[in-house]
Amino acid sequence: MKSDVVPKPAAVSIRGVDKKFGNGFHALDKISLDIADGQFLSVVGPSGCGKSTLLQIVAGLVPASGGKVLLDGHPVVGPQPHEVAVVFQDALLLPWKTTLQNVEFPLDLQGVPAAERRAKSLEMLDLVGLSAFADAYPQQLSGGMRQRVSIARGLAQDPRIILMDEPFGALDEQTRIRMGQELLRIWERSRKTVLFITHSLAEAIFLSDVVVVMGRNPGRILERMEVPLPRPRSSDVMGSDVFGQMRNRLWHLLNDEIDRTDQAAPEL
Amino acid sequence: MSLGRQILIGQVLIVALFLASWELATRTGVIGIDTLAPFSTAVERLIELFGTESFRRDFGATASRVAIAFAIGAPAAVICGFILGEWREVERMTRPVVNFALGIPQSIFLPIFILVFGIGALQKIVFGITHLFFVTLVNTIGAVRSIPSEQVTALRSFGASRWQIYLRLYLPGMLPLVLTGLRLGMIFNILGVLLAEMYVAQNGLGKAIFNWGESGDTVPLTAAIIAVSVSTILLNEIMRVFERRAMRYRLEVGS
Repeated sequence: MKSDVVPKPAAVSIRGVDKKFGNGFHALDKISLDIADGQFLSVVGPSGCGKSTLLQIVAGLVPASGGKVLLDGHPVVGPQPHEVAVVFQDALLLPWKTTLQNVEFPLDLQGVPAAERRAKSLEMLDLVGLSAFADAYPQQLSGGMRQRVSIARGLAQDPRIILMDEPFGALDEQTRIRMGQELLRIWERSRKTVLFITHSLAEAIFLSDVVVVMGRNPGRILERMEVPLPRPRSSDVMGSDVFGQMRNRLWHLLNDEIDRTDQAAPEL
Repeated sequence: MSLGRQILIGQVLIVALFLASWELATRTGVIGIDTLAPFSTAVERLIELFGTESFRRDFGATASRVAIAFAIGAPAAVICGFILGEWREVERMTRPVVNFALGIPQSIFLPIFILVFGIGALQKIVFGITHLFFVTLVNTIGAVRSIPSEQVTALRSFGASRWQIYLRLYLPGMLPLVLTGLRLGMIFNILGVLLAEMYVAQNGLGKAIFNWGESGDTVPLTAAIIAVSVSTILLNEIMRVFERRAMRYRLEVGS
Protein backbone atom coordinates (compact mmCIF):
# COMPACT_ATOMS: atom_id res chain seq x y z
CA MET A 1 0.00 0.00 0.00
CA LYS A 2 1.20 3.45 -0.81
CA SER A 3 1.69 6.01 1.94
CA ASP A 4 0.04 9.34 1.28
CA VAL A 5 1.86 11.34 3.94
CA VAL A 6 3.77 13.60 1.56
CA PRO A 7 1.44 15.63 -0.69
CA LYS A 8 2.23 14.66 -4.26
CA PRO A 9 1.30 16.35 -7.52
CA ALA A 10 -1.76 14.78 -9.18
CA ALA A 11 -0.95 11.63 -11.14
CA VAL A 12 -2.59 13.23 -14.14
CA SER A 13 -3.10 16.96 -14.39
CA ILE A 14 -4.91 18.25 -17.46
CA ARG A 15 -4.48 22.03 -17.66
CA GLY A 16 -6.45 24.15 -20.08
CA VAL A 17 -6.25 21.57 -22.86
CA ASP A 18 -7.72 22.84 -26.10
CA LYS A 19 -8.11 20.93 -29.35
CA LYS A 20 -9.13 22.31 -32.71
CA PHE A 21 -8.94 20.05 -35.76
CA GLY A 22 -7.77 21.11 -39.20
CA ASN A 23 -11.36 21.32 -40.43
CA GLY A 24 -12.16 23.89 -37.74
CA PHE A 25 -14.01 21.48 -35.44
CA HIS A 26 -13.54 22.59 -31.85
CA ALA A 27 -13.20 19.24 -30.07
CA LEU A 28 -12.06 20.39 -26.63
CA ASP A 29 -12.44 23.81 -25.01
CA LYS A 30 -9.86 24.47 -22.28
CA ILE A 31 -10.36 21.30 -20.29
CA SER A 32 -8.86 21.23 -16.80
CA LEU A 33 -9.00 18.09 -14.71
CA ASP A 34 -6.88 16.43 -12.03
CA ILE A 35 -6.73 12.70 -11.34
CA ALA A 36 -5.20 11.78 -7.98
CA ASP A 37 -2.73 8.94 -7.64
CA GLY A 38 -4.55 5.62 -7.46
CA GLN A 39 -7.89 7.17 -8.38
CA PHE A 40 -10.40 5.64 -10.76
CA LEU A 41 -11.96 8.43 -12.80
CA SER A 42 -14.55 7.96 -15.53
CA VAL A 43 -15.56 10.39 -18.23
CA VAL A 44 -19.06 10.12 -19.68
CA GLY A 45 -20.53 12.27 -22.41
CA PRO A 46 -22.50 12.20 -25.66
CA SER A 47 -20.84 11.22 -28.95
CA GLY A 48 -18.67 14.00 -30.28
CA CYS A 49 -17.86 15.53 -26.88
CA GLY A 50 -14.16 14.85 -27.44
CA LYS A 51 -13.70 12.35 -24.60
CA SER A 52 -11.66 9.98 -26.75
CA THR A 53 -9.60 12.87 -28.08
CA LEU A 54 -8.91 13.93 -24.50
CA LEU A 55 -7.68 10.41 -23.70
CA GLN A 56 -5.43 10.39 -26.77
CA ILE A 57 -3.93 13.73 -25.74
CA VAL A 58 -3.23 12.40 -22.23
CA ALA A 59 -1.65 9.32 -23.84
CA GLY A 60 0.62 11.55 -25.91
CA LEU A 61 -0.79 10.06 -29.13
CA VAL A 62 -2.35 13.31 -30.35
CA PRO A 63 -0.95 16.80 -29.72
CA ALA A 64 -3.14 19.40 -27.99
CA SER A 65 -3.74 22.74 -29.73
CA GLY A 66 -3.29 24.53 -26.43
CA GLY A 67 -2.73 23.84 -22.74
CA LYS A 68 -0.76 20.94 -21.35
CA VAL A 69 -0.97 17.58 -19.60
CA LEU A 70 1.31 16.81 -16.64
CA LEU A 71 2.03 13.30 -15.35
CA ASP A 72 3.41 13.63 -11.83
CA GLY A 73 4.37 17.16 -12.72
CA HIS A 74 6.15 16.26 -15.98
CA PRO A 75 4.66 17.47 -19.27
CA VAL A 76 3.48 14.88 -21.80
CA VAL A 77 5.24 15.25 -25.16
CA GLY A 78 4.66 11.78 -26.64
CA PRO A 79 3.73 8.21 -25.76
CA GLN A 80 5.25 7.10 -22.44
CA PRO A 81 4.86 3.32 -22.34
CA HIS A 82 6.58 3.02 -18.95
CA GLU A 83 4.15 5.46 -17.34
CA VAL A 84 0.96 5.04 -19.32
CA ALA A 85 -0.80 2.05 -20.87
CA VAL A 86 -3.75 2.49 -23.21
CA VAL A 87 -6.58 -0.04 -23.59
CA PHE A 88 -8.56 0.64 -26.75
CA GLN A 89 -12.19 -0.08 -27.63
CA ASP A 90 -11.11 -2.86 -29.97
CA ALA A 91 -8.63 -5.17 -28.29
CA LEU A 92 -6.24 -4.60 -31.23
CA LEU A 93 -4.36 -7.84 -30.75
CA LEU A 94 -2.01 -8.93 -33.52
CA PRO A 95 -3.69 -11.91 -35.24
CA TRP A 96 -0.40 -13.68 -35.98
CA LYS A 97 0.70 -13.66 -32.35
CA THR A 98 -0.57 -15.93 -29.61
CA THR A 99 -2.25 -14.56 -26.50
CA LEU A 100 1.01 -14.70 -24.55
CA GLN A 101 3.01 -13.12 -27.38
CA ASN A 102 0.46 -10.33 -27.60
CA VAL A 103 0.74 -9.60 -23.88
CA GLU A 104 4.53 -9.63 -24.18
CA PHE A 105 4.59 -7.42 -27.25
CA PRO A 106 4.96 -3.94 -25.66
CA LEU A 107 7.76 -5.26 -23.41
CA ASP A 108 9.34 -6.94 -26.42
CA LEU A 109 9.33 -3.60 -28.28
CA GLN A 110 10.96 -1.96 -25.29
CA GLY A 111 13.74 -4.55 -25.29
CA VAL A 112 12.83 -6.29 -22.02
CA PRO A 113 14.70 -9.66 -21.86
CA ALA A 114 12.61 -12.65 -22.95
CA ALA A 115 12.54 -14.50 -19.61
CA GLU A 116 11.51 -11.40 -17.69
CA ARG A 117 8.75 -10.35 -20.06
CA ARG A 118 7.45 -13.90 -20.24
CA ALA A 119 7.20 -14.21 -16.47
CA LYS A 120 5.48 -10.82 -16.20
CA SER A 121 3.05 -11.64 -19.00
CA LEU A 122 2.12 -15.04 -17.58
CA GLU A 123 1.44 -13.37 -14.25
CA MET A 124 -0.91 -10.87 -15.89
CA LEU A 125 -2.66 -13.55 -17.94
CA ASP A 126 -3.24 -15.37 -14.68
CA LEU A 127 -4.64 -12.20 -13.14
CA VAL A 128 -7.23 -11.84 -15.92
CA GLY A 129 -7.93 -15.58 -15.73
CA LEU A 130 -6.66 -16.58 -19.17
CA SER A 131 -3.60 -18.70 -18.34
CA ALA A 132 -5.15 -21.64 -20.12
CA PHE A 133 -5.32 -19.65 -23.36
CA ALA A 134 -1.68 -18.49 -23.46
CA ASP A 135 -1.01 -20.33 -26.73
CA ALA A 136 -4.35 -19.59 -28.39
CA TYR A 137 -4.62 -17.11 -31.25
CA PRO A 138 -6.88 -14.05 -30.90
CA GLN A 139 -9.37 -15.40 -33.44
CA GLN A 140 -9.97 -18.37 -31.18
CA LEU A 141 -11.05 -16.12 -28.29
CA SER A 142 -14.39 -14.43 -27.64
CA GLY A 143 -14.68 -10.62 -27.69
CA GLY A 144 -14.64 -10.43 -23.90
CA MET A 145 -11.59 -12.69 -23.66
CA ARG A 146 -9.75 -10.60 -26.22
CA GLN A 147 -10.43 -7.46 -24.23
CA ARG A 148 -9.11 -9.20 -21.09
CA VAL A 149 -5.92 -10.03 -23.02
CA SER A 150 -5.69 -6.38 -23.99
CA ILE A 151 -6.04 -5.39 -20.31
CA ALA A 152 -3.37 -7.92 -19.34
CA ARG A 153 -1.14 -6.41 -22.01
CA GLY A 154 -1.65 -2.96 -20.52
CA LEU A 155 -0.94 -4.21 -16.99
CA ALA A 156 2.21 -6.06 -18.14
CA GLN A 157 3.67 -2.70 -19.15
CA ASP A 158 3.48 -2.02 -15.41
CA PRO A 159 2.36 1.58 -15.89
CA ARG A 160 1.20 3.79 -13.06
CA ILE A 161 -1.60 5.12 -15.22
CA ILE A 162 -4.04 3.19 -17.37
CA LEU A 163 -6.17 4.95 -19.97
CA MET A 164 -9.20 3.00 -21.15
CA ASP A 165 -11.11 4.19 -24.19
CA GLU A 166 -14.57 2.56 -24.02
CA PRO A 167 -12.91 -0.82 -23.53
CA PHE A 168 -16.21 -2.69 -23.17
CA GLY A 169 -18.13 -0.67 -25.73
CA ALA A 170 -18.12 -3.41 -28.34
CA LEU A 171 -19.31 -6.13 -25.94
CA ASP A 172 -22.85 -7.27 -25.22
CA GLU A 173 -24.54 -6.08 -22.02
CA GLN A 174 -24.05 -9.29 -20.05
CA THR A 175 -20.34 -9.59 -20.88
CA ARG A 176 -19.95 -5.88 -20.26
CA ILE A 177 -21.19 -6.07 -16.67
CA ARG A 178 -19.04 -9.09 -15.96
CA MET A 179 -16.02 -7.35 -17.44
CA GLY A 180 -16.70 -4.37 -15.18
CA GLN A 181 -16.69 -6.63 -12.11
CA GLU A 182 -13.54 -8.29 -13.36
CA LEU A 183 -11.85 -4.92 -13.90
CA LEU A 184 -12.76 -3.78 -10.38
CA ARG A 185 -11.29 -6.96 -8.92
CA ILE A 186 -8.04 -6.43 -10.83
CA TRP A 187 -7.93 -2.72 -10.05
CA GLU A 188 -8.45 -3.27 -6.33
CA ARG A 189 -5.32 -5.42 -6.35
CA SER A 190 -3.13 -3.07 -8.39
CA ARG A 191 -4.57 0.37 -7.51
CA LYS A 192 -3.36 2.00 -10.68
CA THR A 193 -4.54 5.46 -11.62
CA VAL A 194 -7.29 4.96 -14.20
CA LEU A 195 -8.90 7.29 -16.72
CA PHE A 196 -11.90 5.42 -18.09
CA ILE A 197 -14.01 6.61 -21.02
CA THR A 198 -17.49 5.15 -21.37
CA HIS A 199 -20.99 5.66 -22.71
CA SER A 200 -22.53 3.69 -19.89
CA LEU A 201 -23.60 5.67 -16.81
CA ALA A 202 -24.02 2.54 -14.68
CA GLU A 203 -20.57 1.35 -15.64
CA ALA A 204 -19.05 4.75 -14.77
CA ILE A 205 -20.70 4.91 -11.32
CA PHE A 206 -20.03 1.29 -10.48
CA LEU A 207 -16.32 1.48 -11.28
CA SER A 208 -15.27 4.99 -10.34
CA ASP A 209 -14.22 7.23 -7.49
CA VAL A 210 -15.07 10.24 -9.61
CA VAL A 211 -17.35 10.63 -12.63
CA VAL A 212 -16.83 13.58 -14.96
CA VAL A 213 -19.61 14.58 -17.34
CA MET A 214 -18.66 16.21 -20.61
CA GLY A 215 -20.75 18.26 -23.02
CA ARG A 216 -20.16 18.87 -26.69
CA ASN A 217 -19.83 21.68 -29.25
CA PRO A 218 -17.27 22.44 -27.99
CA GLY A 219 -16.21 19.59 -25.71
CA ARG A 220 -16.06 20.77 -22.10
CA ILE A 221 -16.61 19.56 -18.55
CA LEU A 222 -20.16 20.00 -17.27
CA GLU A 223 -19.76 18.44 -13.86
CA ARG A 224 -17.44 16.45 -11.65
CA MET A 225 -19.12 14.10 -9.15
CA GLU A 226 -17.57 12.05 -6.38
CA VAL A 227 -19.05 8.55 -6.04
CA PRO A 228 -19.80 7.99 -2.32
CA LEU A 229 -20.04 4.20 -2.57
CA PRO A 230 -17.73 2.20 -0.28
CA ARG A 231 -15.18 -0.25 -1.66
CA PRO A 232 -14.82 -3.08 -2.32
CA ARG A 233 -18.02 -2.97 -4.36
CA SER A 234 -20.11 -5.84 -5.57
CA SER A 235 -22.75 -5.60 -8.27
CA ASP A 236 -25.32 -5.30 -5.43
CA VAL A 237 -24.49 -1.59 -5.11
CA MET A 238 -26.25 -1.06 -8.44
CA GLY A 239 -29.53 -1.56 -6.59
CA SER A 240 -28.78 0.97 -3.86
CA ASP A 241 -30.48 4.37 -3.49
CA VAL A 242 -27.21 6.29 -3.80
CA PHE A 243 -26.50 4.53 -7.08
CA GLY A 244 -29.97 5.25 -8.42
CA GLN A 245 -29.85 8.92 -7.47
CA MET A 246 -26.43 9.41 -9.08
CA ARG A 247 -27.54 7.68 -12.20
CA ASN A 248 -30.66 9.86 -12.41
CA ARG A 249 -28.63 13.00 -11.97
CA LEU A 250 -26.13 11.99 -14.65
CA TRP A 251 -28.94 10.99 -16.96
CA HIS A 252 -30.64 14.39 -16.66
CA LEU A 253 -27.37 16.24 -17.18
CA LEU A 254 -26.63 14.31 -20.36
CA ASN A 255 -30.19 14.49 -21.60
CA ASP A 256 -30.27 18.28 -21.25
CA GLU A 257 -26.93 18.51 -23.05
CA ILE A 258 -28.14 16.34 -25.92
CA ASP A 259 -31.39 18.38 -26.19
CA ARG A 260 -29.40 21.60 -26.25
CA THR A 261 -26.86 20.47 -28.83
CA ASP A 262 -29.26 18.55 -31.07
CA GLN A 263 -30.75 21.86 -32.14
CA ALA A 264 -27.29 23.32 -32.76
CA ALA A 265 -25.80 20.27 -34.42
CA PRO A 266 -28.48 18.08 -36.00
CA GLU A 267 -25.87 15.96 -37.79
CA LEU A 268 -24.77 14.45 -34.50
CA MET B 1 -11.58 -41.71 -44.36
CA SER B 2 -11.31 -37.99 -43.69
CA LEU B 3 -13.00 -35.47 -45.94
CA GLY B 4 -9.62 -33.96 -46.83
CA ARG B 5 -8.40 -37.33 -48.06
CA GLN B 6 -11.56 -37.94 -50.09
CA ILE B 7 -11.15 -34.56 -51.77
CA LEU B 8 -7.49 -35.35 -52.56
CA ILE B 9 -8.43 -38.67 -54.14
CA GLY B 10 -11.13 -36.90 -56.12
CA GLN B 11 -8.61 -34.37 -57.38
CA VAL B 12 -6.15 -37.05 -58.46
CA LEU B 13 -8.94 -38.97 -60.23
CA ILE B 14 -10.05 -35.91 -62.19
CA VAL B 15 -6.49 -35.22 -63.39
CA ALA B 16 -6.07 -38.90 -64.30
CA LEU B 17 -9.39 -38.84 -66.17
CA PHE B 18 -8.32 -35.73 -68.09
CA LEU B 19 -5.00 -37.28 -69.14
CA ALA B 20 -6.65 -40.57 -70.03
CA SER B 21 -9.28 -38.94 -72.23
CA TRP B 22 -6.56 -36.85 -73.88
CA GLU B 23 -4.64 -40.03 -74.60
CA LEU B 24 -7.74 -41.84 -75.85
CA ALA B 25 -8.99 -38.96 -78.02
CA THR B 26 -5.64 -38.56 -79.77
CA ARG B 27 -5.04 -42.31 -80.13
CA THR B 28 -8.47 -43.00 -81.66
CA GLY B 29 -8.23 -40.00 -83.96
CA VAL B 30 -11.09 -38.03 -82.42
CA ILE B 31 -8.47 -35.31 -82.11
CA GLY B 32 -6.13 -35.51 -85.10
CA ILE B 33 -2.39 -35.81 -84.73
CA ASP B 34 -2.15 -32.58 -86.80
CA THR B 35 -3.76 -30.75 -83.82
CA LEU B 36 -2.41 -32.41 -80.69
CA ALA B 37 -0.04 -35.28 -79.93
CA PRO B 38 -1.00 -38.04 -77.48
CA PHE B 39 0.10 -37.35 -73.93
CA SER B 40 2.43 -40.36 -73.71
CA THR B 41 4.12 -39.59 -77.07
CA ALA B 42 4.62 -35.97 -76.03
CA VAL B 43 6.13 -36.95 -72.69
CA GLU B 44 8.50 -39.36 -74.42
CA ARG B 45 9.53 -36.62 -76.83
CA LEU B 46 9.97 -34.19 -73.99
CA ILE B 47 12.49 -36.49 -72.32
CA GLU B 48 14.34 -36.72 -75.64
CA LEU B 49 14.19 -32.97 -76.09
CA PHE B 50 15.84 -32.38 -72.74
CA GLY B 51 18.70 -34.48 -74.10
CA THR B 52 19.24 -32.00 -76.95
CA GLU B 53 21.46 -28.98 -76.63
CA SER B 54 19.11 -26.63 -78.48
CA PHE B 55 16.03 -27.36 -76.36
CA ARG B 56 18.01 -26.98 -73.15
CA ARG B 57 19.29 -23.64 -74.44
CA ASP B 58 15.76 -22.47 -75.26
CA PHE B 59 14.47 -23.60 -71.89
CA GLY B 60 17.39 -21.94 -70.10
CA ALA B 61 16.98 -18.71 -72.07
CA THR B 62 13.31 -18.40 -71.14
CA ALA B 63 13.88 -19.40 -67.51
CA SER B 64 16.68 -16.86 -67.07
CA ARG B 65 14.59 -14.08 -68.68
CA VAL B 66 11.70 -14.89 -66.34
CA ALA B 67 14.07 -14.98 -63.35
CA ILE B 68 15.78 -11.69 -64.21
CA ALA B 69 12.46 -9.94 -64.88
CA PHE B 70 11.16 -11.17 -61.53
CA ALA B 71 14.35 -10.23 -59.67
CA ILE B 72 14.09 -6.65 -60.97
CA GLY B 73 10.34 -6.18 -61.27
CA ALA B 74 9.11 -7.81 -58.06
CA PRO B 75 11.16 -5.73 -55.55
CA ALA B 76 10.44 -2.59 -57.61
CA ALA B 77 6.70 -3.28 -57.53
CA VAL B 78 6.69 -4.06 -53.79
CA ILE B 79 8.69 -0.92 -52.95
CA CYS B 80 6.52 1.30 -55.16
CA GLY B 81 3.38 -0.35 -53.75
CA PHE B 82 4.55 0.32 -50.21
CA ILE B 83 5.26 3.98 -51.00
CA LEU B 84 1.92 4.46 -52.74
CA GLY B 85 0.11 2.64 -49.92
CA GLU B 86 1.71 4.82 -47.26
CA TRP B 87 1.36 8.16 -49.09
CA ARG B 88 -2.27 8.23 -50.04
CA GLU B 89 -2.09 11.54 -51.92
CA VAL B 90 0.56 10.16 -54.28
CA GLU B 91 -1.48 6.98 -54.71
CA ARG B 92 -4.58 9.00 -55.65
CA MET B 93 -2.55 11.04 -58.15
CA THR B 94 -1.14 7.93 -59.83
CA ARG B 95 -4.34 5.88 -59.59
CA PRO B 96 -5.58 6.58 -63.16
CA VAL B 97 -2.23 5.54 -64.65
CA VAL B 98 -2.17 2.31 -62.63
CA ASN B 99 -5.78 1.51 -63.51
CA PHE B 100 -5.20 2.14 -67.22
CA ALA B 101 -2.03 0.06 -67.16
CA LEU B 102 -3.97 -2.80 -65.58
CA GLY B 103 -6.94 -2.43 -67.89
CA ILE B 104 -5.24 -2.19 -71.28
CA PRO B 105 -4.05 -5.49 -72.81
CA GLN B 106 -0.31 -4.92 -72.77
CA SER B 107 0.34 -7.09 -75.81
CA ILE B 108 -0.73 -4.20 -78.06
CA PHE B 109 2.44 -2.38 -77.00
CA LEU B 110 4.71 -5.23 -78.08
CA PRO B 111 5.65 -3.66 -81.47
CA ILE B 112 6.65 -0.46 -79.69
CA PHE B 113 8.74 -2.43 -77.17
CA ILE B 114 10.55 -4.02 -80.11
CA LEU B 115 11.20 -0.61 -81.65
CA VAL B 116 12.61 0.66 -78.35
CA PHE B 117 14.39 -2.40 -76.94
CA GLY B 118 15.16 -4.46 -80.06
CA ILE B 119 14.44 -8.18 -80.39
CA GLY B 120 17.02 -9.52 -77.91
CA ALA B 121 16.77 -10.69 -74.33
CA LEU B 122 16.38 -7.15 -72.97
CA GLN B 123 13.05 -6.67 -74.70
CA LYS B 124 11.73 -9.99 -73.32
CA ILE B 125 12.82 -9.04 -69.81
CA VAL B 126 11.28 -5.57 -70.00
CA PHE B 127 8.05 -7.06 -71.31
CA GLY B 128 8.05 -9.54 -68.41
CA ILE B 129 8.64 -6.71 -65.92
CA THR B 130 5.81 -4.54 -67.23
CA HIS B 131 3.49 -7.54 -67.08
CA LEU B 132 4.26 -8.40 -63.48
CA PHE B 133 4.70 -4.86 -62.15
CA PHE B 134 1.15 -3.57 -61.95
CA VAL B 135 -0.55 -6.64 -60.54
CA THR B 136 2.09 -6.93 -57.80
CA LEU B 137 1.88 -3.18 -57.21
CA VAL B 138 -1.88 -3.20 -56.70
CA ASN B 139 -1.67 -6.16 -54.31
CA THR B 140 1.04 -4.43 -52.28
CA ILE B 141 -1.01 -1.24 -52.05
CA GLY B 142 -3.89 -3.39 -50.80
CA ALA B 143 -1.55 -5.03 -48.28
CA VAL B 144 -0.56 -1.63 -46.83
CA ARG B 145 -4.22 -0.65 -46.68
CA SER B 146 -5.05 -3.82 -44.76
CA ILE B 147 -3.08 -2.53 -41.75
CA PRO B 148 -5.63 -0.79 -39.48
CA SER B 149 -4.60 2.71 -38.41
CA GLU B 150 -5.88 1.95 -34.88
CA GLN B 151 -3.31 -0.82 -34.73
CA VAL B 152 -0.58 1.69 -35.59
CA THR B 153 -1.86 3.96 -32.80
CA ALA B 154 -1.75 1.04 -30.38
CA LEU B 155 1.88 0.29 -31.27
CA ARG B 156 2.76 3.95 -30.79
CA SER B 157 1.25 3.76 -27.32
CA PHE B 158 3.55 0.78 -26.62
CA GLY B 159 6.48 3.07 -27.44
CA ALA B 160 7.22 1.52 -30.86
CA SER B 161 9.56 3.47 -33.13
CA ARG B 162 8.68 4.08 -36.78
CA TRP B 163 11.01 1.23 -37.75
CA GLN B 164 9.42 -1.12 -35.25
CA ILE B 165 6.00 -0.24 -36.63
CA TYR B 166 7.18 -1.15 -40.15
CA LEU B 167 9.07 -4.30 -39.16
CA ARG B 168 6.79 -5.68 -36.45
CA LEU B 169 3.38 -4.63 -37.77
CA TYR B 170 3.55 -3.80 -41.48
CA LEU B 171 5.87 -6.59 -42.54
CA PRO B 172 4.01 -9.54 -40.99
CA GLY B 173 0.62 -7.91 -41.63
CA MET B 174 1.33 -7.29 -45.31
CA LEU B 175 3.07 -10.58 -46.02
CA PRO B 176 0.12 -12.78 -47.11
CA LEU B 177 -1.23 -10.24 -49.61
CA VAL B 178 2.25 -9.34 -50.91
CA LEU B 179 3.00 -13.02 -51.50
CA THR B 180 -0.26 -13.36 -53.42
CA GLY B 181 0.77 -10.33 -55.47
CA LEU B 182 4.17 -11.90 -56.19
CA ARG B 183 2.63 -15.19 -57.21
CA LEU B 184 0.17 -13.50 -59.59
CA GLY B 185 3.03 -11.30 -60.80
CA MET B 186 5.06 -14.41 -61.64
CA ILE B 187 2.22 -15.82 -63.73
CA PHE B 188 1.95 -12.55 -65.67
CA ASN B 189 5.74 -12.38 -65.97
CA ILE B 190 5.91 -15.81 -67.65
CA LEU B 191 3.04 -14.81 -69.91
CA GLY B 192 4.86 -11.62 -70.94
CA VAL B 193 8.20 -13.30 -71.67
CA LEU B 194 6.63 -16.18 -73.68
CA LEU B 195 4.44 -13.78 -75.62
CA ALA B 196 7.44 -11.64 -76.55
CA GLU B 197 9.39 -14.74 -77.57
CA MET B 198 6.54 -16.03 -79.73
CA TYR B 199 6.25 -12.69 -81.50
CA VAL B 200 9.87 -12.36 -82.51
CA ALA B 201 13.00 -13.86 -80.97
CA GLN B 202 16.29 -15.61 -81.69
CA ASN B 203 15.73 -18.30 -79.07
CA GLY B 204 13.56 -19.26 -76.12
CA LEU B 205 10.68 -21.65 -75.48
CA GLY B 206 8.15 -19.20 -76.87
CA LYS B 207 9.97 -19.11 -80.18
CA ALA B 208 10.33 -22.92 -80.26
CA ILE B 209 6.62 -23.39 -79.56
CA PHE B 210 5.69 -20.88 -82.24
CA ASN B 211 7.97 -22.50 -84.83
CA TRP B 212 6.67 -26.01 -84.16
CA GLY B 213 3.16 -24.65 -84.42
CA GLU B 214 3.93 -22.98 -87.73
CA SER B 215 5.30 -26.19 -89.19
CA GLY B 216 2.51 -28.32 -87.74
CA ASP B 217 5.02 -30.41 -85.79
CA THR B 218 2.59 -31.28 -83.01
CA VAL B 219 4.67 -33.84 -81.09
CA PRO B 220 7.47 -31.44 -79.98
CA LEU B 221 4.86 -28.66 -79.79
CA THR B 222 2.79 -30.64 -77.29
CA ALA B 223 5.99 -31.65 -75.45
CA ALA B 224 7.01 -28.01 -75.06
CA ILE B 225 3.52 -27.01 -73.92
CA ILE B 226 3.72 -29.71 -71.23
CA ALA B 227 7.17 -28.45 -70.20
CA VAL B 228 5.89 -24.87 -69.79
CA SER B 229 2.70 -25.96 -68.04
CA VAL B 230 4.44 -28.23 -65.55
CA SER B 231 7.14 -25.63 -64.75
CA THR B 232 4.52 -22.92 -64.21
CA ILE B 233 2.33 -25.12 -62.04
CA LEU B 234 5.34 -26.14 -59.93
CA LEU B 235 6.48 -22.55 -59.49
CA ASN B 236 2.95 -21.48 -58.60
CA GLU B 237 2.56 -24.25 -56.03
CA ILE B 238 5.93 -23.51 -54.41
CA MET B 239 4.96 -19.86 -54.00
CA ARG B 240 1.59 -20.91 -52.64
CA VAL B 241 3.34 -22.89 -49.90
CA PHE B 242 5.01 -19.69 -48.68
CA GLU B 243 1.70 -17.86 -48.89
CA ARG B 244 -0.04 -20.49 -46.80
CA ARG B 245 2.77 -20.49 -44.28
CA ALA B 246 2.46 -16.71 -43.91
CA MET B 247 -1.20 -17.02 -43.05
CA ARG B 248 -1.03 -20.17 -41.03
CA TYR B 249 -2.41 -18.31 -38.01
CA ARG B 250 -5.62 -17.72 -39.94
CA LEU B 251 -5.95 -21.33 -40.99
CA GLU B 252 -5.53 -22.63 -37.47
CA VAL B 253 -8.65 -20.81 -36.38
CA GLY B 254 -11.02 -23.18 -38.10
CA SER B 255 -9.47 -26.25 -36.51
